Amino acid sequence: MRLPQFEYVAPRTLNEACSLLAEHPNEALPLAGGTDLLVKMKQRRIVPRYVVNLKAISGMDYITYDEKDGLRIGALATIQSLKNSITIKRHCRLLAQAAGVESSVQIRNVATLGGNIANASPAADAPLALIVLGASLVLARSGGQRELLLEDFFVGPGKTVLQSDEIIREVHVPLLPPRSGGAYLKHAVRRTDIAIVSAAVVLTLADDICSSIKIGLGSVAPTAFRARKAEGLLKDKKITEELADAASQAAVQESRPIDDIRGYAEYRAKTVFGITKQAIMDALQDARLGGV
Amino acid sequence: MKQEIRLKVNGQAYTFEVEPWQTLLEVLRENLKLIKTKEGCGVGECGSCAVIMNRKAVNSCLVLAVDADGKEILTAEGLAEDVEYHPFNEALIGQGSMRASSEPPGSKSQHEFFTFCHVCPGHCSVKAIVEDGKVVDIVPDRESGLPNELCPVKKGRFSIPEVLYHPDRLKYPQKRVGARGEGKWERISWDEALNTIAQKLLTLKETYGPESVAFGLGEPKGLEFAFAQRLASVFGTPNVVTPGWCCGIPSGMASTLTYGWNCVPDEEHPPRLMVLWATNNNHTSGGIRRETFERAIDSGAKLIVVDPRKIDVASFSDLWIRLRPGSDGALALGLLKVIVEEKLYDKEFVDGWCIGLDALEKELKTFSMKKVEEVTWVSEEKIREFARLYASIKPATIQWGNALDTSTTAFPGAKAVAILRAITGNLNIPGGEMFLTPAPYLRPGKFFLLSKFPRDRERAVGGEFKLAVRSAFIPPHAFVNSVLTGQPYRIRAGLFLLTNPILSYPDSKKTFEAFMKLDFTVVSELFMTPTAALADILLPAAWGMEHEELGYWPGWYEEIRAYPKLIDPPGEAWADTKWLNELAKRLGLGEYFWESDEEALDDMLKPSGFTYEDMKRKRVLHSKREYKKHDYRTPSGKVEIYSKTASDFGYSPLPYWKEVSILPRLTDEYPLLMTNAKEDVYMLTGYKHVASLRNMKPEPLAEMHPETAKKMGLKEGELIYIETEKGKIMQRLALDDTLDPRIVVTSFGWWFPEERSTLYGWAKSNINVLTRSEPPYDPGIGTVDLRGIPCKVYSAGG
Repeated sequence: MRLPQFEYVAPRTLNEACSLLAEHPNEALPLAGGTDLLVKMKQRRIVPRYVVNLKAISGMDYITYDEKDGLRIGALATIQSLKNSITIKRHCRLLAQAAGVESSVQIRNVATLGGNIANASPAADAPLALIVLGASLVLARSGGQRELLLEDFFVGPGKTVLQSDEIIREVHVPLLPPRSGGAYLKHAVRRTDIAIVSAAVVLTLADDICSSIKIGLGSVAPTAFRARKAEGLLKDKKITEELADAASQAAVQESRPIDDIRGYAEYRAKTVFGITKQAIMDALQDARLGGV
Repeated sequence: MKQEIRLKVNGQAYTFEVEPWQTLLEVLRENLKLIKTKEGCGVGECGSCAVIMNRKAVNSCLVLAVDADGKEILTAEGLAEDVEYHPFNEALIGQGSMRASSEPPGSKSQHEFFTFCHVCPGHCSVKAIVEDGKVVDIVPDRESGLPNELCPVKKGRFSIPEVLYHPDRLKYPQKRVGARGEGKWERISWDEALNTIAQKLLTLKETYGPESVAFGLGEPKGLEFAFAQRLASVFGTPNVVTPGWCCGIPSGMASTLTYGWNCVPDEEHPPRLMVLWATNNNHTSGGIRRETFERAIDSGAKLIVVDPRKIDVASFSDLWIRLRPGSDGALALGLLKVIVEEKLYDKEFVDGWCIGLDALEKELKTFSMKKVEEVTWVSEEKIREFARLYASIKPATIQWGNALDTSTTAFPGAKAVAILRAITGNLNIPGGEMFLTPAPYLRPGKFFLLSKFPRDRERAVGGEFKLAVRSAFIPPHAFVNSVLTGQPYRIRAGLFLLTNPILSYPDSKKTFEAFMKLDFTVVSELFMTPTAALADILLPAAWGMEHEELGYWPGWYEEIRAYPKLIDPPGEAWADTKWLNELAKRLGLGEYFWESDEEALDDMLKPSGFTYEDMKRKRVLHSKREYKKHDYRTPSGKVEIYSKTASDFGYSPLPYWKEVSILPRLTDEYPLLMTNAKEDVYMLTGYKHVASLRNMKPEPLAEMHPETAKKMGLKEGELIYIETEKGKIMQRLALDDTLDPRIVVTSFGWWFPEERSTLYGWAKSNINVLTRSEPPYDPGIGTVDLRGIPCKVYSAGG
């Protein structure tokens, strides 16, 4: 299947890219890795008049870590680079794990974190992990930028608060307190498939009390989201099996899965219970043993 | 605007001018003819296009050529010597990345079983990986020396584990309660189901005669087709609809009536020239397997591709003939004219072994090359080039595809192609067109008990189609007309297996009406489909790997294969052979069947001296390949350019220009020709439930030339209506400037399992809503135009 035809531009700076998007409102789309955009174009679901290739912009694929500031990742860093990065494995293992189970190696070698986030699939793995890691985004536009929490970025399947002239520039993962642990679980038919249900948990222990917890669920709502009622049942408590059960049940209530080609809503709802509980217990164990 | 790119491929530097929308895959295949990197799904799911770019594995179908600028690429050709096919895929196999199991490979004990993929007639040899009683993967069998290169889109590998365990699999016999199509069912036992069916059929037989019961069959997978034919024979009904009316039989019979056999390209010796006529041997394994095709190309064979679309094999062909859909017969006669009049044929062969050259010469004088150009939309110059190239290189083969059979001119067109093969001296020579001696298994015709219970033309609906009835089927429109009009009498009941007539019979609206009007309908299926939804008794079918099976299809390989049972079917699903066998007993016809359907497996193999158990180890009995000089099983013992036998079946004895040149006219109201191409991702109408396939192609696309779209005010990506006199359907518009501006290429076989309230959207995008069941018909088989139909296109506003 061939791509539809388009006008092509390859700006050398992010500012130029943003200006191009502003110049052609509703007609131009940024191209990062292309593993989502080019697919939708081949399927003729999106047919942009202008394609703005971001890959000529250098210096946007960095992965840096600072002991106070945490992790900063350039939006054009590939998913595979997240999986392989020693920095991420050392300081943010959960992210490496989640990135590592996205799709196939061929896709990961080309797909970018910025594109993965902007595509806004509720099933995306790295973004789900980033939500529970408390990540925030830096969004650039011509002559300025803004920051916001990733968990506030998604508004619906494939829909975000990104303006048509904005481009994701960077992802920031703040430092986690010591004795934080995490877990990422993905339920799919094949290793390379999109998740049917996914769960990510990050929690912090103070003595054996859970001083903070974030529970993220993927593929069971219009967006990846935090199951706050579930979190509320565990915050400031000592996590027991019974509490984990209760939280997982709350997570089921908070989910709004649909029937689709990958699974029935009923099946997904059932799976949310088990996968949430497992993620909570795994994150707990991880925190006890040294952490994220 | 074109961009210049410089890249290294397999160590060599190249510079290209590319459009921004070209992908690296296109550059590799079309500019560099590195054909081991293939397009499967085109959307990065199947991995068939994977290459190494700057030491990273990437899917080249999703890399813009401009993004490969300055990079180093390694393809299969650069990764390994003498590879059968992409070694990169092997590495991915090892990673277990396509296993349908959440456990990592090696965490549970697994067993491997040799078998064949049962999804399409290519039947690639595979190893099924079974873990914990479940098939988790099928991988190419690289050990047995059998054709094993999976289709690039890997539809078997994706669909088999998903279909086997799909939650929507039908598991129990059901009977309709409530109105037909209402969707209210009651679970019943097999006993009740079979007794109900038997009772109904016997009553109908007694009251209206056995011919009031029809069978509707699809493409054979194992022996179920043969069981159903056998049952039809002994029950006494000649009314069996099979796909033969628009697939295989017109071309096959045209060949048989010309040189006494059907033929396939030689796979032992590569041809020096291949014509792919209406087939894409990258995706389809008909006649020439993928490995053979690639070996031939590697050894320098020339390639001519005949197709209205620039399919990928056309991209690296030596000659691409972009013809008008439906004009294949006219093109073939044009080629004959050049070859005969320029005396390019094998004179010795034709003088010694062909009868009818004079009559052909006379016929070829009745039209001009200008006329051929007009009808086929191919320039006279190109037709001459095609003819001269084809005739000048030996050995050469013509691999035909389905489009030759989907037209009212299918028979004369295919006969013209058969004559081309013969007069160029390519019959039964190494590298040419082979007549295969079937492996020694019971001939299907014998299994159907046709000699003991011959099909009665006088009693069949559609009995006027003599060649069809002789080939043990009737065309679907004869069935539909009988039910709707009561002419020549009314068929009252139907048993349907392997088939989805609401999608696959021409004129879906009439087909639907007929199904609503039937007194009694039995459908055996894997899933609920638009046809299954209209059943009175719905039976759950077991699938491949779920029962012991022999497969003799496709007929042109003349071989038979064993498909061992690897796992249990879900619920109470039964193999079709099992319930047909049981039904026969309850109809009082048990003497022609077996105590258990599995006994038939040994019987099928009797002529070989092997038992089915032996076959499970032997796996396949091959046909015999002999370069039998001058063995033409025609009445004259020679190649019959002029065939009197053909006229016995209502055909002209040789193809006449006036037959193949009368094609539907474009009008102001219907200014475009609708055609369609094989859906690479799906197997015909099936598997729309399979997530990994539906992910690759989520909805039907229709392709048109950008200028035509512009004239009609249509934008790429919008939903459009395609309309004929019969009705209208909706598909999404894609533009392709390599198409003739006068055509629209639609997607076949679309229905929507998720749209329950509209009976699965059977009328929404189904191109058979647009086709007709009225005459004109091919006189011997009843074929109707399914491609090249005048239509109009306009926005659906979405």
